[in-house]
Amino acid sequence: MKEIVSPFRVGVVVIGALVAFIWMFGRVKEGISEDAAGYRVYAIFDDVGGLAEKSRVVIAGINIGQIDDIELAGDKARVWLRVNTPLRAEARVAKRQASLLGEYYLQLTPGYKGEPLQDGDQIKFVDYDVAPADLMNGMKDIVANVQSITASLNRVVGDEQGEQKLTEILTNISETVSEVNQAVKANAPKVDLVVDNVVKVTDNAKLITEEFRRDARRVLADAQQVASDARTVMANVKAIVGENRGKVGEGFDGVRGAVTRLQSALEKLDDTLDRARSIAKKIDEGKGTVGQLVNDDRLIDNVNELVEESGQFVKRLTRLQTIVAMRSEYYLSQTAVKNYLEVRLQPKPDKYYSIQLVDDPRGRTTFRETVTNSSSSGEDPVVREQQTITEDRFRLSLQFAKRFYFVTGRIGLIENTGGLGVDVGLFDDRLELSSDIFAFDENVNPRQRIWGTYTFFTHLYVAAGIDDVWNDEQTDFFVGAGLRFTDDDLKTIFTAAPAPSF
Amino acid sequence: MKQIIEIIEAMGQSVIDSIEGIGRVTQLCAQTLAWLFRPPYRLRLLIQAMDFVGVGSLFIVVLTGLFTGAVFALQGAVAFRLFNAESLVGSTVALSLARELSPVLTGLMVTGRAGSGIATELGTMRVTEQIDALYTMAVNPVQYLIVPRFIAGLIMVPMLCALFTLVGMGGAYFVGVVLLHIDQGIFLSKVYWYVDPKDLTSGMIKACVFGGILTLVGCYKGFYASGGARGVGLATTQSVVVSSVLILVADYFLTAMMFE
Repeated sequence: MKEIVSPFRVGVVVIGALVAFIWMFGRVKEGISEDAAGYRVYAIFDDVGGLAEKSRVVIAGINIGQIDDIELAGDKARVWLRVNTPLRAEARVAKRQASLLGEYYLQLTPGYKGEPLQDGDQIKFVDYDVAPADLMNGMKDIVANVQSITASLNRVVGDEQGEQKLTEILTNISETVSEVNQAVKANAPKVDLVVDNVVKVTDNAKLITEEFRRDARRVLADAQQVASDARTVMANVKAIVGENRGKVGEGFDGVRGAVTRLQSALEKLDDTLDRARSIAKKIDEGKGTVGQLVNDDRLIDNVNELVEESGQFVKRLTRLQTIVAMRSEYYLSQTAVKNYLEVRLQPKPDKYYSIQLVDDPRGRTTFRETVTNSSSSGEDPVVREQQTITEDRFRLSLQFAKRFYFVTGRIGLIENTGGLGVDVGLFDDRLELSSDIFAFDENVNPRQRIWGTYTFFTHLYVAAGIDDVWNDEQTDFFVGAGLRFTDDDLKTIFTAAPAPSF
Repeated sequence: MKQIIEIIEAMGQSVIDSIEGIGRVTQLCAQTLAWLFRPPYRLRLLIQAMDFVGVGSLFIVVLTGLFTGAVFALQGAVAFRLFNAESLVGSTVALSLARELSPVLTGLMVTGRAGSGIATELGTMRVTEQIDALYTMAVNPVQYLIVPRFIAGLIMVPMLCALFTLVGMGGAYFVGVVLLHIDQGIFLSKVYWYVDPKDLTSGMIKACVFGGILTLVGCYKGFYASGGARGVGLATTQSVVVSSVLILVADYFLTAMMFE
């Protein structure tokens, strides 16, 4: 028994151990990329302290290789990197610290310009980080400066002489302050008196100058009046004496007339001033239109209200979103195309008004019934003629839509007849399942249309569905595609479009 | 004067004994190597030796490996936690196991269990004159007794070393990831990143050398045992001590050769 079992047991152990070894070998081989892929490039560093063979090489934090070898190149270090991602001539490499423990790695920027780097090429651009050692060097300079300042301070005040000088300075300052204080205290009443006197003098001067100014003005006015009177008198005297010596009496009459006219003019002026005063008084009291305009607060309130309402209206207008959509559908049985042009006015996200112009291959159907009463006996006295007229005319849809969560209900005019509709928006409204029911009296059954649209890009969507589900002879399938623009797009288009010139 | 002569004689005798010992070891090694390639090849004996050296030591090696990895991870985590670098536990344990701990500890364990067994077995055969009997039967005892054990050591100790590494890593993973909640991805990625195939193969080569050392020492000590039961016991003890010391010394030189 042992003869059989022994080789088996040995075999099991050997196979198990070999499997374990091969598995481990495979796993740790994954960790290095040197045989699998990649190529070698090198960079010259001033200092490679902290870097070691097998240190990581990363781009954007992702390992793309490792350090293969580090060797001395003159007084610098040549670091060979094995990387497995394409690099260009403008590639940059930087030594970065992974942790405070001093573990370093190389950060690569692959570069976008220049020739692709080949095996054995050099990465020419090397960036240097501020290493803790550099910081320490900087600190050393700062400490030296601080030391020199403290040393000079020490020289000035450090010894006994300096200390004595400082004490003297402080004593002097203290004495000066106390003397100034005493002087101020002693002279305070006198100073008050002086200030009072100065105030009085300036007040008097002010009064004098004001009085003088008033008197001077009066004197000037009097002088002007005297001069004017003298001119008038002289003119009259000249008139009397020079030209009409015989008509002295008439001359006096002329003077009297002039004075009378002057008086009358003054009276008129008085009257005018009285009226002006009366008007001003009324305005002040709020009487009359202008008075109300000036004194009544209601007016300004009304104006404010109006401005506020206008603001809200403008806000509503600016909030209003306009969506313009065009869609064409190909009807498979009819082999005809149906086109829609829709303008959607959306004042709120959950509410919109839709105006749709529909070019339906079925056209616009109208009914006309003519009843003719005939008196001839040979014929049916009543002739009833019914005409169904189908014209190739646009149909119009006017709908009001309201959204509840992901379901939108629509009501209004659908293709010239009353109707209802519902849209279900899925996946952020990318997929929309819709149904309309309308034209309740056009045929035996109302016309129901069920379709789905899927928006691929921002503006482009495709549609497919079934039209007129319940009227068998009319039922048709359709596929279509459409474009949809919001007013942001339209703004962009209109502002970017060249202005027409005439 | 007589005493001085005795002292000089004793010193000279020990020198002669040492030189003789080296000569015998060299002779035995040469004979073993020569008989490796000479028929008849005794496969049955080889399988038996592999069973004794490898399968017999499997349990103790696996157990040692498991706890070595676990303890090393535990201690490493305590130390690395001081620097917030616990993620390095896996790679540290894996590198230590692959390069040093697995071959050395496997070598020592197999020495303790199988090397001593070989010395005892051959020593007993020597003192009971069974080896002399083999000569009389025109069977070369080196070929019959030593070669299969030597080959078994060369093959089975590396196998046990590979299993030691695997189980040790399992123990480290259990302690590190399951008990100490070190991030699993980081733990494994650091292991794969820092351990090279070269580390594993160097460990295997070391284990192979240690297997040769421990079997040859066991065989030598047993083969030249003398002095009855006491001599057998002495040979066993000496084989374990000498093998262990030689394994550690050889480990230093192998490491220096492989990683410098």
